[in-house]
Amino acid sequence: METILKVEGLKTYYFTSTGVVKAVDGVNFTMQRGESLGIAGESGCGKSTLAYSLMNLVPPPGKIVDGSIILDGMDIAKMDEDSLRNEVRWKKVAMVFQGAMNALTPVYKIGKQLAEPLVIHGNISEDEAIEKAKEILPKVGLDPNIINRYPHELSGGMKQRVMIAMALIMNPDIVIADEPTTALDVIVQAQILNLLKKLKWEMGINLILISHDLSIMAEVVDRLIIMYAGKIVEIGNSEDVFGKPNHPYTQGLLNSIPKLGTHELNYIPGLPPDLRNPPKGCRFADRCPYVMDICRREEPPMFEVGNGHYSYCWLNR
Amino acid sequence: MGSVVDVTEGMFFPDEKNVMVVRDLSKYFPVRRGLSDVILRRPARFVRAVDHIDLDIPEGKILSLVGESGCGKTTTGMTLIRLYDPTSGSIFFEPKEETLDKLKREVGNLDIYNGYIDIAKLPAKYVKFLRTDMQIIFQDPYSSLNPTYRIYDILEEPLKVHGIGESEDERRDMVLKALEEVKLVPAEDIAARFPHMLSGGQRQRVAIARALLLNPKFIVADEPIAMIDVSLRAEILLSLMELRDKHKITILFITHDLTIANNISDYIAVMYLGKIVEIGTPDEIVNNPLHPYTKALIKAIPIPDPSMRNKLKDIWIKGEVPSAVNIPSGCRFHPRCMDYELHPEIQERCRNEEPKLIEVEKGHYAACWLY
Repeated sequence: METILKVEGLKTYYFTSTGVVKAVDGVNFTMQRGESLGIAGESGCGKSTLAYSLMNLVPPPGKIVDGSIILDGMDIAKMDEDSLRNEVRWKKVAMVFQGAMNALTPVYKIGKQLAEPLVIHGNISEDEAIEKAKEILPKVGLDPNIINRYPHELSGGMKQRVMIAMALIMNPDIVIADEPTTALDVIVQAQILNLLKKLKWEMGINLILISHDLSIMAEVVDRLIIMYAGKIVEIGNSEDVFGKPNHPYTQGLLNSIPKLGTHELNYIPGLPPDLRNPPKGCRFADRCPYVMDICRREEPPMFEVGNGHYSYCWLNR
Repeated sequence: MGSVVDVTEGMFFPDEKNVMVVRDLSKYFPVRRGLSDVILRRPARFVRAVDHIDLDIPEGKILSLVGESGCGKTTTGMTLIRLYDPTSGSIFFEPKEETLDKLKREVGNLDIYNGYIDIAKLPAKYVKFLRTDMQIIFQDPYSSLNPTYRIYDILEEPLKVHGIGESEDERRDMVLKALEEVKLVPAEDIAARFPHMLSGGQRQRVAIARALLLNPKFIVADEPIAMIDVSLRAEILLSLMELRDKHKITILFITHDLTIANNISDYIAVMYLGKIVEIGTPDEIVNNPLHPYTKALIKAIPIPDPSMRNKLKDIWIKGEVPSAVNIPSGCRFHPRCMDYELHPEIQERCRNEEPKLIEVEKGHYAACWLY
């Protein structure tokens, strides 16, 4: 297998007036060509910050402070703004932003908005770009004629499809989808997930899916990263993470998913730590039902718990 | 007073006593007319958010109202507690005794039907007397709590407004007790904080405590967990279930998530485009859905099993939700219905006649020409 993305020791901090928020604090992972990767965790765990870091697009006061993001021999973490714009964003890594319904500008027609990345990054005229936009729309299940419509004329699901088309238009290596279905109804959500699957099978896109909802992950991704309080706690193939979850946090998350017909409700007591001042040792220790002395003293290292299945938990010592 | 025909008799849950009986209730919102509409004398148009619905709400139970955004479920909830004035129809509600006494004193000609009053007809200036009986928990705990008030003040305010509690001390006790009730402890510490110092889940529990303080009979919970992390949702849901079990409070739980409705409710009503299309127990609705729309909702639920990623999900619906201004004729679901295609023999009926909610199986109602 070919590694297309390698992230090592990545740290992204927000320098706020009340302290340094360590949103992503030493993250390592790789992504293979052809696989879809999921990044899951509660709100505030750093998953969106990680996604933005992969394009080096962290909004101020956030900044990548350490680590590397190797894609195609380039280190995205260390590139300057111009080369990021010319070589990386949209061309290599594209993103479907969270809340896509509001990501389109209301005053331009869909065609112009879809064509914009091509005009700016692809050096072609707007007319040619709009022709290309027409070609891509059927791939996301839309009628090419909607290029003449304004965003308010489209439903939420259609707008989300436009955003996905926009991410695909420069033919990027990696497409990041940040909570692509959060604002959508359950039926539209199922339609969008079907679309992502089709794109993966038919166009071979390498997808990174960010979500707090593990049941959505199960419907799409091959490999899953579980994040907690700025750190990865478990990584593995979907079958392993869902079938044999190792980290108590992963187990808690899986237990919290309400299931049809069980009438059983579970939750993880407590709250995540303040990332301005994370506890030393394991960050999940305060909420962990199996907490031991060592958990509060020392940060757990990575343990291999199965084939390609890793967990950062002292229980594996 | 009282009437010869018992208008307050329930029609859906024969084994239950209903705290609220809703008949033929509608809420329309006028669409703003442009200048050309006025000049050309086009008729006024309406968003038919709630369109002639019947519903019973059994006492001490959780009834979930399930549907997609725009189906009218929030409007229904708000209308039932008179946060909106209904366009037409009746809402028979059985108030607490002291509330009924107060209303008798205040309202000149109050019609009372077996202890129920039609709150749809109650003049707006008396609606405030209902607030001790019916409360709401809003969807977004980030905007439903005043950011400049401490939690204590947020919770004390309804007591002051309704003149409950003789003294400051008594009110303080009530506020702290309510916080403990929703497991926000130490209550003294939480009460002194501002909303921004609490997490979303904690805020939502403050909202529950606020609804609880006036000791209501009936609470509308409008998607109270939509903004809460999956890992913390159950905590809120369990608090709501405790209100039902411990305080016998009736809850109308509004949600778009059938899985959650299935987990917490005693009954489920499914709503589509302003109409209730199916009513039944959670197990009946999930295991034996009757209405094609309910079937579509169930098939769309994501399943936390990674083998699902190798196949496409079966989408049992076509097209998009039509606008509530131009509701399709006949059965309003027929343009999106998959069963419509499969049953040519009923198509004419589906196109022209609106189906009524009928009891298809015992205690399980659906509005569909298939039955």
